[in-house]
Amino acid sequence: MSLRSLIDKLGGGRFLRGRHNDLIAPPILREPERFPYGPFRWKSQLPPGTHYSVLASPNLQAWIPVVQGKVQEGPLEYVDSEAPKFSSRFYRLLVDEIYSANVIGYASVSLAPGFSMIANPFGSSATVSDTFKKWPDGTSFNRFDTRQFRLVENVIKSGKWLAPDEKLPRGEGAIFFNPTMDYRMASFAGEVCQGNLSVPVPSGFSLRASLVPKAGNLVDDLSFPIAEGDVIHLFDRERQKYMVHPYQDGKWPAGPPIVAVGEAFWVAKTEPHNWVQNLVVES
Amino acid sequence: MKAHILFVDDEAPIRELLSLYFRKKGLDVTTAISAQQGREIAGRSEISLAILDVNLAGENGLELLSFFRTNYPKVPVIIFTGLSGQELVTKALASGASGFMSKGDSLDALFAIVSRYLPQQTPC
Repeated sequence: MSLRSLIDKLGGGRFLRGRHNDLIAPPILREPERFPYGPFRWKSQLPPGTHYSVLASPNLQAWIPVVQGKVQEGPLEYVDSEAPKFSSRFYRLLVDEIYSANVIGYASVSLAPGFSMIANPFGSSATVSDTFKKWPDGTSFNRFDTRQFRLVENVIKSGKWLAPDEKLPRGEGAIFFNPTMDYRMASFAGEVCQGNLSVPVPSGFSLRASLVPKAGNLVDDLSFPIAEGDVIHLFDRERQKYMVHPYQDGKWPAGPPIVAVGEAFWVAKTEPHNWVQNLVVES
Repeated sequence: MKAHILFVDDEAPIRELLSLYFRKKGLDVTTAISAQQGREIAGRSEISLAILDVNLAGENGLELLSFFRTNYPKVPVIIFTGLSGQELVTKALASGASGFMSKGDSLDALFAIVSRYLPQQTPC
């Protein structure tokens, strides 16, 4: 039984205390939501009178306390009005020297006029219509069908997504088309998945993305299983062109691919492989 | 009637993105991932312009260019490659290619090249 399911069984994620007022289940952060005007909100169920500290991090490594307080009534509701200053930010709670069972956060992606390759790095069930609200007709969201070797397009027509419930699973990428002349932002929000995570990478072409909201060198920082002959295509959304990174003779002649949080890439794999990433947010 | 482009390229990233972009620009695009598939499509539909990748798996794009020159001499053919080199350009143009474009170019630059070879629309 996972820690999460044990906690749910014990009390549906409530912060629980035993007979001697000792902590028996860590709190859980819930209902993450990024507001269109920038702030980020989440909630947690804590008993009234509980002293807590909210910790935030821009990279899941350096954590700082952003607020400390005492719960009054009802669930703790935290709204980070500083969120617009960070392209991505992550949160957890500290209560009685116990960290929350989960970490949640958001990642903003800049959508230039034209195409961008994007990814949802969180474990969330957000749909395209949740994530891309108030976009004009002609906006499109395209995923690659590895069986038919083609992009499958979902588009906004007459103000509505043709497939409003389509999701972008973690580890997969999509090509987003912004039909306007303006740069716009979109946010993904949800729980940061931890532990040993994996996604299959088939031979041939596929659109892939990191399973965790981390940026960096695709191999050194994100543990991508590169092999001789593989090719990575990143898309430069400013210049609307591909940047091609072949892996030859154990090297990157065009430099190593550096991937941002919420960015997807094409990979041409010579042999199928599982991409395994291990993320544990340290106490 | 929309101009109809046949785009033969076995590299999914560029084939899929560029065909999506051209469709958004109002063109009708049919894609093929092999020379054989390209021949079949050309045989059953009217093509305004063909874009051929040089490095197709199994068959060189320049061989496919010869096929087009023999069977569809009026269809402009643009050779598309990630490779650079004057020798290749010269060889493609000598074999009857109408134009040449590079995979390193931006989408707008590629569309500008394609537009040059599309049949002109007559106003109603």
